[in-house]
Amino acid sequence: MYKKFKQLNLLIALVLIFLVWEAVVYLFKVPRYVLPAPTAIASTTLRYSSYLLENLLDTTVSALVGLIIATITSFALSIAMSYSKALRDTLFPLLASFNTIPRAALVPLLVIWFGLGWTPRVLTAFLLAFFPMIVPVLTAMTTVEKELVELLAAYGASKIQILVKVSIPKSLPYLMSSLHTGLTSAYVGAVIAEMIASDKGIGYVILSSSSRLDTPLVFACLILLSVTTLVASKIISVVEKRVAKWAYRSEA
Amino acid sequence: MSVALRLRNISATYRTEDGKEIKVLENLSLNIFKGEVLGIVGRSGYGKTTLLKIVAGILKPTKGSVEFLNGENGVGRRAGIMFQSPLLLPWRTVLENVLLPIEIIGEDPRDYVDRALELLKIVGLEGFEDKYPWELSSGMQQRVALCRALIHKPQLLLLDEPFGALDAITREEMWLLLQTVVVREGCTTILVTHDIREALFLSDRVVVIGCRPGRVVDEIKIDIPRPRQLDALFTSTFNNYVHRIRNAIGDNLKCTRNSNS
Repeated sequence: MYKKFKQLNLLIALVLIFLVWEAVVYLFKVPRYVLPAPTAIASTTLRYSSYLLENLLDTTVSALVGLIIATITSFALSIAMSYSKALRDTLFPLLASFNTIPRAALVPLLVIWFGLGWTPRVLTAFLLAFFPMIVPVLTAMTTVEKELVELLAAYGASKIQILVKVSIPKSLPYLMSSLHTGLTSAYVGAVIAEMIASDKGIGYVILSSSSRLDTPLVFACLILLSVTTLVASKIISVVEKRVAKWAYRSEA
Repeated sequence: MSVALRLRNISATYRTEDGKEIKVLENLSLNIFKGEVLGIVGRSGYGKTTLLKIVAGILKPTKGSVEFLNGENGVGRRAGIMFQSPLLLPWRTVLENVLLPIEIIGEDPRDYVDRALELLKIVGLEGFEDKYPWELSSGMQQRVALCRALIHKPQLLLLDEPFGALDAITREEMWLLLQTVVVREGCTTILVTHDIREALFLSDRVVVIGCRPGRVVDEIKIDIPRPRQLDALFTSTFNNYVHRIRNAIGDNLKCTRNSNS
């Protein structure tokens, strides 16, 4: 009952925002290239729908491939680093210091190395998503209660058994929730790479339409990106509750 | 009675984070008899838990030895262990939690499902096997932990403050339950606790660990017939035992003076 109300409230709020927006643009005669009215954005979206969808698909593929690579790498490296403390002590500071480099600044370098194709876009998406994903997963794996480890060790458990039976299952909900942050980061990465060096994707559309002062098209891109990320995030939530339902016990 | 376990001249030191070494146990020798329930009482921080962990093989003593006598090979050789915290895995059902040691030991868990269900029934958790730990009260979780400690038919059961986190009334009910289970399983049991009444109620023999570094300062055989009822807690015999043990533990001021000298 309450949940339905919450969704209704959200819908009303959205409608109100768009109404106020439309009214402001109309009343103050705001020029189209400064702030287009919601109706102008909607009509632009419809007019360019196939063009927009084509480029959105491009961005989405880059972002998702980058996200998948980031997920696999962060999970695998977390396992390796929670198994070997020596590896953790060496590799983690390196990763953390690499994380301080602004990834956007790396795109020109990636283009020199890999050309203008998919590779720099996927890599930028990966590079942005990777670090925020590995931190929670690794932390979950390396913070198993000492007494639990002792208990299992007393039964003769090997390090691998503790990893498989405790650390990895414990880290799964953290992996799933880090997919949400990873997803937004991956989109940011893909769009940045498209803006810097590409002739495809939503990032490219934003850049080219803004240089023509086609602001409604820029807004159309922003709204599409936001809706796509939201939908993807919802899909992750559904999977999340299946994979790690024990972590959501309070909501059960 | 035959000796099941012989501790010889056990010494242990604990290294603090700033690198200081603290002697926790010194020259502690103790025989544990087959099938008995041995209570070990003493102040917090005086080596009771260290001693238990040494017996469990989790810690190595700096000096001395632990000898298992009449030990059989195979599953029964590993002690069953239960700590103050139930340490159940939240992503596993009650049954899967109980079967965890079997997986670790490398036996087929399917062979132990019947035993797991039987143990759960004894501790009053029949029908809870498919529940998750968070659906149970803390007392129920601790009963699951007890079943997990016993699943592989250990000859030795090690309990470290097993009911320390429970409320007083639940704790007393757990005593009765533990008594039933231990009598039924017939395993040698070492119970570490700072609750004198708990140690007395459950044990055949109580050993008092004195001031740091820990050593045995008193040893008392408890002559209260089994099965014991909670009424036994209110008899003068019981109170006399409590009095004697409390005296043996001594007062903190004396302890501090002794350990500094």
